[in-house]
Amino acid sequence: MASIKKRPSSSTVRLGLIVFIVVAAWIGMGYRLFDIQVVKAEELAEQGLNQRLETREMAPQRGKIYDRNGDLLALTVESQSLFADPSQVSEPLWVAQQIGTLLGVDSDSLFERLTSDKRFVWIKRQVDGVLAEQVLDLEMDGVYSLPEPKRVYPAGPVAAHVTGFVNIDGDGQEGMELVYDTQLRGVPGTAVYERSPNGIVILQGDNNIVPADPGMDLNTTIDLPLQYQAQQSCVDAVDRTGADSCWAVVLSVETGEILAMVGAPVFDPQTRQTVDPRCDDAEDPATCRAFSNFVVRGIFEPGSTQKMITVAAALEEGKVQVGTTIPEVADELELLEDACRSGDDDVHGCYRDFHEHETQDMTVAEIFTRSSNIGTIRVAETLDQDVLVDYIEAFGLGSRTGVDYTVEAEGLLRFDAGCQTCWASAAIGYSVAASPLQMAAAYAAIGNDGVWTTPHIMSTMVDPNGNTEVAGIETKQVVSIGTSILVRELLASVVEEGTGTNAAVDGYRVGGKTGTANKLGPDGRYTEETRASFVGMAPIDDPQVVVAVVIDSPDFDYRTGGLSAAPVFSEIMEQALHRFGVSPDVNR
Amino acid sequence: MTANITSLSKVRNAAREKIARQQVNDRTTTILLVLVVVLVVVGLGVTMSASSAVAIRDTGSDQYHFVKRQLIGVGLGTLALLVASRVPYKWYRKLALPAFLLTVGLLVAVEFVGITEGGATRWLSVPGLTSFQPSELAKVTVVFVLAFLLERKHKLLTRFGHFVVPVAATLGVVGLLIIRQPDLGTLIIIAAAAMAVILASDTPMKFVLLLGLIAVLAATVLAFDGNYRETRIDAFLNPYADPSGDGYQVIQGYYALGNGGVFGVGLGASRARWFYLPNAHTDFIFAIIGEETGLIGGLTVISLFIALAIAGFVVAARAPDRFGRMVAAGITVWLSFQALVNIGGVLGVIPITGIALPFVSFGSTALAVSMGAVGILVNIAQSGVDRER
Repeated sequence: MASIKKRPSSSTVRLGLIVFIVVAAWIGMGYRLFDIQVVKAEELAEQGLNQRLETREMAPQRGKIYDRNGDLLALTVESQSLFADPSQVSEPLWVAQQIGTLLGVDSDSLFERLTSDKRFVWIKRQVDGVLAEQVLDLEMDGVYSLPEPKRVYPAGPVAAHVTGFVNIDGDGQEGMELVYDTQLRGVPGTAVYERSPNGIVILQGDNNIVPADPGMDLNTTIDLPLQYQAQQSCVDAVDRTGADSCWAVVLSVETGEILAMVGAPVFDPQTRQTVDPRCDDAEDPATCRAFSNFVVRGIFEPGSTQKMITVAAALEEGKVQVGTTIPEVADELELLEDACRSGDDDVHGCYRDFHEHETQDMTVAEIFTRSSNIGTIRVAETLDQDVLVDYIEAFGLGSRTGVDYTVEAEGLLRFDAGCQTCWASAAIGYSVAASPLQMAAAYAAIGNDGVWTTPHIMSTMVDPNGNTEVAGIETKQVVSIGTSILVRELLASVVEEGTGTNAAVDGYRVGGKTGTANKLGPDGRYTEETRASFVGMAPIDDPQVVVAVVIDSPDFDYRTGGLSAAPVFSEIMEQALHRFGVSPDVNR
Repeated sequence: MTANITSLSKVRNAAREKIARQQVNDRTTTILLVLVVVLVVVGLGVTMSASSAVAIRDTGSDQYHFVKRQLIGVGLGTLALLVASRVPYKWYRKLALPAFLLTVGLLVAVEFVGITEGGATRWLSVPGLTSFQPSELAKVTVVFVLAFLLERKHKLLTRFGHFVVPVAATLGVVGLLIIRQPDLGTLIIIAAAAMAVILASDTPMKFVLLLGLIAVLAATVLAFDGNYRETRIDAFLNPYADPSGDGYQVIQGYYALGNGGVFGVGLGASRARWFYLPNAHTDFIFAIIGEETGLIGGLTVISLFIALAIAGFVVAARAPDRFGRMVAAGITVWLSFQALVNIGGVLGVIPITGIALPFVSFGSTALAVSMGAVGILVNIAQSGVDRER
């Protein structure tokens, strides 16, 4: 026992040596730990954070577009976009055929995409969820879907020229979608978060999420039922008259609100394709691109519809009365010497009435009702040329109306110093050009007791917090109330006994003016083709609505505004008056 | 009378000494047990955090999957600790040789019917239980057999042959079998434990140093032999040379530790466990400890291991015989060295060896064996005697 107890002390020393080595090693570890967790900690932590941090933009919900009654014109829904990783697709041919059949995608081009060396190809974007589910149920290798918002237009082609459309990425391309793209789009949110290598959000991470601000909702002045009726009238008119196109705009006289704005042929904002069977075999596909809104962007020689401005100016200036007799009005007038000798209308300086007639004394009212060019020029002669130009400009021709629509046409006024006949041409609506909307706004000024108002489509924009943006509109007094009333009576007589009888509406007194302008050919000479127009208002004693109709290149039998545009005007006006519950005139 | 008085005072002194001795022994035992309990609890807590993401990925829903399995290990380990602390360590003298032969048998069995995972064949499948790793058992049995042999030969140890033959035979057989798996990490632990046993024996110091030299040379050769280990060495020397490949794990460990800083990001808030740090709940659990509890937590764990080492050597120094002393020293160095190699790997001061942090890392076999080993230490501690001052 004693020998065990009296162990050589060297063994204890050896054990102590081991302890010393172990503890020294541990102290080394502790130092290293301090180095990592204190000295280098900041740098290492930042490197680690950088590999975990992910910044993702969160798309905001695009605002909705409503008509004036709260019916939806455009909204964004969730859809599924199908895509493939070609490297994972084992049977591209089978996949291309199956999916091609299910989704209506061209199998050949799909096969090409599926066999490319990319890692990501779209199969079809923005597919209905149920359909996408069917495709995914086939459980084909490498075929996936991801949710993607899709813009839909419940009214289909009806309001296409108003709403416009977005591209597949949701960027506004046309119409309201483009004009108010910024407001509709909203502000994208950002999510900065820590995630695992396989994309899982680390809940304990320094995650900072700024949610997206949804876009504003857009309330328009459009009345969807009226818009639909007006479009039908235009589509019918194109069929009936063989015209290239028909355009119409309905304005609220008092407010400048655009109640309807239509064109035919129409297009579908969903597919961004023209809806017109004739376009399937059109020689020039460009003519069948109906996207561009002629009401706002197109210009045409207004022809006789412009005479309203000439007469209004003369009346306002007190140069003539409605009953003033203009003596010896011929059916031909030479403003430049021998201009009419060639017998060709194209030579400037020679003016003729549409119908030949004896030289006769005519009152201003007769001149207007019968739409005499010569008579109107004689009336214009009573005015200084500058004054006439001032009125034309005051009525809004030659400058943009300021409507909330992109690429609005300015129109064309030509009053060069050297031009001796320009004033006369302008007086009867030649050698000037205006958009249908400019003419409608000019007529609305007469309807609104001489006050011109900016036409507009947006009434309010509302964001989810209730902040509201309203339309900015300008008004200006163009002529007096008295002149307005006189001109309205003249317009009514055009419909009652003049060139515009086809524009009449049962139960209401309607006033308006026909217009027929020959189109310029490519060589700069007038052709047989016309732009036929009618602009008018009702009820004439207290006008509520202005309708402007322009029909492009109708068949010869329908070449005048009275024959082609006036009936369309009548249909649209009747619908408009009914839609807005305007009482019929009792004295009719 | 005088004789009576003398014998009485002797008896009284002996009784007093015995009580004092028992007090010291109990205190050592308490310290050992407290250290182990704290380390095991830390391990469970960190495993819960470190393994949750992986658990959900693997099981689909059960984030406590690995914790539950670890609790089984804790149960087994507690049983092993209790049993080992009651079994008189002297019995292991008789058990040493059969146990060693059993271990060799199991290692040979691994050669033929072992389970291969991650390029290494180390496991035997045990019906109804998780897989079993015979090399874990080897850590204990090699300590036993060397202690047994060196005690028997303690008078002949001055003769080199008598020393080197049994050492070379036992270590050689086990070493060869483990290299073939391969499991260099475990072999290093066994070698270190063996060195401790030898150092605690009566072997002359010159032989010990010679053997140490041979061991270092062998380790160096082994380290650079074979692609599998070579990449680990390369990754150790410059992890940033291939940050997304060989150096990935070490760098991710640094990120975790750096993220933890002094005070840590908080329990359960580790980012590295989200699939950035491979083996977050096993080999690299120390990085998660450092991330969640910071330098404070890391140093605490290191302190616990230092305390364990000192307590272990107190047990060895107080052991009543050579066998107990050598076993205690072997076990203590095994546990300490395994912890050092593991944490050193995480800290990038030694190559990654793929061995677990004792008591802390997930792994029920290792936990049961480690706790059983502490049970043996407890038993030796209970037999402790005072040294002459």
